Amino acid sequence: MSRMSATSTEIVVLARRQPMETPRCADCRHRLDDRQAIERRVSGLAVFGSAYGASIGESRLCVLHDRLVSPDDRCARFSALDGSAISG
Amino acid sequence: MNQVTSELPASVRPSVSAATQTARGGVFSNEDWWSVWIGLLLVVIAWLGFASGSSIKWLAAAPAKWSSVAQAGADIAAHLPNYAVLFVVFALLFGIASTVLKQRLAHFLPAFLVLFVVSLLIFETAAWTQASHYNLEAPLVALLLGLVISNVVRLPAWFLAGLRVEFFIKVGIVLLGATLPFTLLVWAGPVAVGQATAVSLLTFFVIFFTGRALGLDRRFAAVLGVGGAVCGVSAAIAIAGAVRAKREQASVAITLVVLWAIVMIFVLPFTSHALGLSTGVAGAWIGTSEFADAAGIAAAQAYGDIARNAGGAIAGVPEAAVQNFTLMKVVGRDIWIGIWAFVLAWVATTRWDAFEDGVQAKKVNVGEIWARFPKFVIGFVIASALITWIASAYSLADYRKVVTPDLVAPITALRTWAFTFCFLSIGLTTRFGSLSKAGWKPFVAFTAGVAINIIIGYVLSVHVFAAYWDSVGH
Repeated sequence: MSRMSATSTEIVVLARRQPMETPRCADCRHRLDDRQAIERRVSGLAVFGSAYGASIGESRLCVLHDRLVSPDDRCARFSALDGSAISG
Repeated sequence: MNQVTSELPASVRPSVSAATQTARGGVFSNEDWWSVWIGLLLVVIAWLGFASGSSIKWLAAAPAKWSSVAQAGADIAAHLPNYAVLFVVFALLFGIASTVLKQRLAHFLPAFLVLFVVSLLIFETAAWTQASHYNLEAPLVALLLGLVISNVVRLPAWFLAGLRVEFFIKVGIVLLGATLPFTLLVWAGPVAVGQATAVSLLTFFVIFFTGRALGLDRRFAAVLGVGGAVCGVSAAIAIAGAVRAKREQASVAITLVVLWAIVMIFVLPFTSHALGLSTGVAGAWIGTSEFADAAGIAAAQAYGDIARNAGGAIAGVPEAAVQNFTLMKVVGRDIWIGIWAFVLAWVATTRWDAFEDGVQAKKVNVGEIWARFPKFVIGFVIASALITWIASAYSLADYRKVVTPDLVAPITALRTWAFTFCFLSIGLTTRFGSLSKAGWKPFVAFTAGVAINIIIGYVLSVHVFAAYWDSVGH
């Protein structure tokens, strides 16, 4: 899983006029859909909270941007779960 | 704002794999729902036993008061079969949930066995007749013991799988609902909501604007603000998700919540004692001013235990501290987290920057409110309504003579077990060295909110609504 960080110049911003044709974070391999791993990476989360509770909803960590994202968010650095990237 | 350098190729399509899609919603999809099912199942089993002329008292075993080690040993030995069955029941219920939630059962079960045995020893310690003389209330003993162990010894990774703080506290709160009359929820709810809302809004804006004045990012200030104003760590991760905050921002906010919540576990009960507050008033203050459910329950139960052993020096029934805490925190504050998340997600995507760091946040929808709603509150309300309905068939005298010992008391004992698992887990999971370094700016912003929260919470609980909370406590 990629751990490289995105810089602003690397970021390819989405075409706003084609939002339905762009891939979702839900299908991206950078989205860490592993609640145990989220508890390990967000220090203190398991002390008085949980990645398995309702409050986190569908938010998950994007390991590329090191930021919480929702399944329907989109990003030009998308990389499909099968490994095929779209930018570059 | 990030630089726009190119457009996404229109031909690109994601490869969608059903197996890797996150299961959305579902009544078995998170610990909140599981706490509802486990809590209500235990309540229904207790009810069925009671309705058939029996009781689950044998299952809900708890140590009797003792004054010598020999007496304590004999008590444990006599109840060993009961404790063994109780362990099996809890391990089975938590184990099923753990498996469905894709946690490691092979790690959870041995860890939970250790947690259960140590909880029993803590329970036994608190039953010592001299325990109150040394302030050995079960929540404080569990917390301190856990803190010492986790910060001195490196605990193995498999053991951490059994320390589900939030899960245990939510199961305990559902069971707590079975000991609260539904009419009390209806009667006290609006006042709790009014008081909690006033303090929450004030605390949020103090933290947010102090943070902004110190130069903190808007998203970071919002995560800090709601973490201090609503429900601590759960709020921090909910808002971090809603506004697409950086992981480090969530970690720092959570670190500050954890530190202040642990400080308040000790400060609030002992200050309440020093000020001579009644259990009802102290519970309301703790509910307004603590930052996390688990921490607040620990503080409120500790104060209830102090009152129980104070020989009448503290006004109000001991149970009122936890009851009023729960009304204020769960009913008054927790249930609004979905609204906070929805509003701040809307602000972040429409007023701030929807393209933060290259991530295009989806358009916010009202489903966010339900998605992040603390579902365990539903179990808490249903448990309260069920027991109230059952009790309505009895006179007050019969309720005290029959329903309380055979139905309510065993549920209370199960609740105390769940809370003890939680308190011990708090200590065992709090490794101060592994928490994020906060930096002075977030610390100052959050601490400003803490100060306001404590002061306004005190004024409202102890002066403005004192008579009200006292009457609830009686």
